[in-house]
Amino acid sequence: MSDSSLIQSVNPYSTNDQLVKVALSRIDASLRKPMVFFFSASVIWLLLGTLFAMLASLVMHWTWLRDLFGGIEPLSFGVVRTLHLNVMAYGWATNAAFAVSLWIMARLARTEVRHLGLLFVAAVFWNVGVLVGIVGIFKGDMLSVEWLEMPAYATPILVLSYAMIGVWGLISFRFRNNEHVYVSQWYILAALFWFPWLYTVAQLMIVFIPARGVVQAITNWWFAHNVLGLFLTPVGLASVYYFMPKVLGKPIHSYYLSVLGFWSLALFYNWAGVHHLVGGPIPVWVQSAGIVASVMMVIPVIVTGINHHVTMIGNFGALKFSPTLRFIVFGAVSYTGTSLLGSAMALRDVSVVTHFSHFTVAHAHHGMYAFFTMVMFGAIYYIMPRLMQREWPSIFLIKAHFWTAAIGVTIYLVGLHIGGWIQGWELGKTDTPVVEIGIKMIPWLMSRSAAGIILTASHIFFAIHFFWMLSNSSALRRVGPALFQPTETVKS
Amino acid sequence: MWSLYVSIVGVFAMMFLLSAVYALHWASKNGQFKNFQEGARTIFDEEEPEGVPTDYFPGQIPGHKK
Repeated sequence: MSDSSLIQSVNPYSTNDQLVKVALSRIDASLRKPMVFFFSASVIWLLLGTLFAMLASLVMHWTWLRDLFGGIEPLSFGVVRTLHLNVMAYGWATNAAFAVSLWIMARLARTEVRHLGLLFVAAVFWNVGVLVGIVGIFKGDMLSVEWLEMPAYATPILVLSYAMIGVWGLISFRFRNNEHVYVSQWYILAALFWFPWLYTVAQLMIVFIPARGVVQAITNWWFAHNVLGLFLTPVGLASVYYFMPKVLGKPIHSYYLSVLGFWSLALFYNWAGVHHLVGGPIPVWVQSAGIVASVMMVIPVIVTGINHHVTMIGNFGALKFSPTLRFIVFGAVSYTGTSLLGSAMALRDVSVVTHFSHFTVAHAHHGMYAFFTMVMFGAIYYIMPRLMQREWPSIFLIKAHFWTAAIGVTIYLVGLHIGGWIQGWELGKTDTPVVEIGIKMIPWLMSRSAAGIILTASHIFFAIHFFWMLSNSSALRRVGPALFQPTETVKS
Repeated sequence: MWSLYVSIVGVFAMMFLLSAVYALHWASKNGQFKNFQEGARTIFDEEEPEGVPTDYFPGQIPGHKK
């Protein structure tokens, strides 16, 4: 069955395969190689992205460091900040998103996993593409389009490898042994389908056949916001909808609400990106459409929030014993917070203060770190023991990782939201010299660097633990279908 | 040039819209919107059944001594 050719697997009319229901442990074991590759790559990118983040943060307030790097172009703020964004978005986040979403897809399909070679090759090529793009930015080939800074020569590698990954996801969906399509599958399928649409349209209209004038800016922000909203957010939510009930052993509070949340997100999110251009030189009706869609996003957010939080009611004790749940719940709460704040920030009166200030940077980290990254950490803590058939070696490192990540990102968000608001407010006044505002920002930027140091420690804990687990063949091994069953522990 | 953009964006937008409509139609025809609470239980099975938590700190399972 798994020997079917790729053509047979893609074309629904060319195969008569009988689907056999397969045990979860067998699916986990068969996925080990590509998933471990994706996760290892993502952890390495995370460390590299953290280094760039620290450099970008420190030069904002340490003038001696800025002077030291002054003559070295690849270390200037503009390059280092861009390297940070691209390494984190396409290296860390996307690798983790691929692994987590494809693992969930394969598990929910409950059948033999096919064409793993294809997935492995795609995983390697995706990372080659990201590396080519990052080196391109480093050596000065960066494009001046936010979220699309990678040079055009990296694009074909990324598109091709993404296509292979997407096709693999579709094949695992097509050969599912479960009539019902769980809400996580909806989110993941949509994410796999939306990303190539966004990426190809944006590349065509901005890089390969550039549109003129403000159309580029509109396309740019349509793309940039939708990478978050239509690719990473669905993967994050799919993970919450899978892991939260799985860890608790209790179905989600209301399945009806979860389906409503999915379809309303699909309807509204695509329009919201232009709120980045509120007040800019684009037609007012386009801005208004973006603002309306951003406010309409309150519907899926409230629906999803109610569902997550009500599922947790009465089960908070579980946070004590489950590492995965700690990260997932932190992420789910942050999703509600960042999304509601994002809707408010789209309003003209709020945007006039928050736009072009550190507030926007804080908001981006609220979504990408406090929500998405925390959910991915939780997912990795759940998946890795099942792939490797062994426990995480250290309870201390898990707890240290969680608390440093949670405290670090909280300091980051509090400091930069407040500082950003003050900055935006002052910039709106005509009587305050800009230099004074810059000096006023220094303590808040220092609080960001302090948070960055804590987050760096957190990532180092996580990386040490991750690679320790990979290499630790003498760790406690578990046999049998479900891990963590006390009766079936063996020491290898 | 504008007609090129309109056709690129138009084709993509139409493809997107039609596939969304098709997905919604398929889901409705396939009974995906019926019996919602049963749908929520499809993530559980014999190996990882409902009612059994599946994640702990290593070696720290309540009521179990190593």
